[in-house]
Amino acid sequence: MEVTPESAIAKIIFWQKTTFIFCSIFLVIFWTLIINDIVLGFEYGYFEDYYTSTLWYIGFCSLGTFINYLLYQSFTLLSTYQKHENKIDLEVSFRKQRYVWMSIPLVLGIFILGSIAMMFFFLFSFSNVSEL
Amino acid sequence: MEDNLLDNNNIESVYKSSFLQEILKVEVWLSVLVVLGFLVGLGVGIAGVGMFAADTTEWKWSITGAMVLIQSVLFIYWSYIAFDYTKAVKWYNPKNITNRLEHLLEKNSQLWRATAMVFSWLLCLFGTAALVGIFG
Repeated sequence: MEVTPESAIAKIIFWQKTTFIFCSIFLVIFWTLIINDIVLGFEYGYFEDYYTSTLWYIGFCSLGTFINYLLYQSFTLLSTYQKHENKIDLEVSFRKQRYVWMSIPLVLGIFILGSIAMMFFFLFSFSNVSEL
Repeated sequence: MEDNLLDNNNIESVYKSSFLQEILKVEVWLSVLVVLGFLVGLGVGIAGVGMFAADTTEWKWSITGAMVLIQSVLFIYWSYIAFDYTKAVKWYNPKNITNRLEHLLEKNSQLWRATAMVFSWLLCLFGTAALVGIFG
């Protein structure tokens, strides 16, 4: 079958929508688990400190939700392009798509660096306690 | 050769960019994700093999291990598709009939298909792990 820009854009919209639905289900599960953990007073918490846990949990889920929102914007703009054929929609859609791909390594990097920083912080805190 | 309408969209817009520029800029970030996806795939694969090696007589470990292995294959497949798309973006030439914009868009749709597959199987994996946790 011959590949046309229109058919390729229709496929992108379909698969982006599918990804968006799966990511939304994940986000609903994560938000539920996190709110449940906060309500239960961090019974299953990874960090012992209340503020760090809240910041980590809410930060991770908020950024995830924002990335998913960018994905939503991307396929919505592609659908608008299909209707009106305004090329600016196509450009902005691919810009949003680029932000999605850009956010994932950035968010992961922030969390990995943050975790390492936290680890060092706790390590030095405990070593100071043992000296006392 | 007939002009491809989309190929002509390289005029700077009000956003000080263009459709082609937006496509080309993704290369760096996707390259990072290709490496990351491959490493995650390898890690998940090792975890899956570990689950099999731990206790193959227990049905719950066999099922979860098999699902984790499939997940690792999907991660590596995603990495390959992302690499393919990044390569196509890098060597994109609007004048070349074998590498036109519609082919680039087709590869982009394949990338999203692979992403959807990774997330759908991850959801199945979490569901199975939850069921195994409840009934296992």
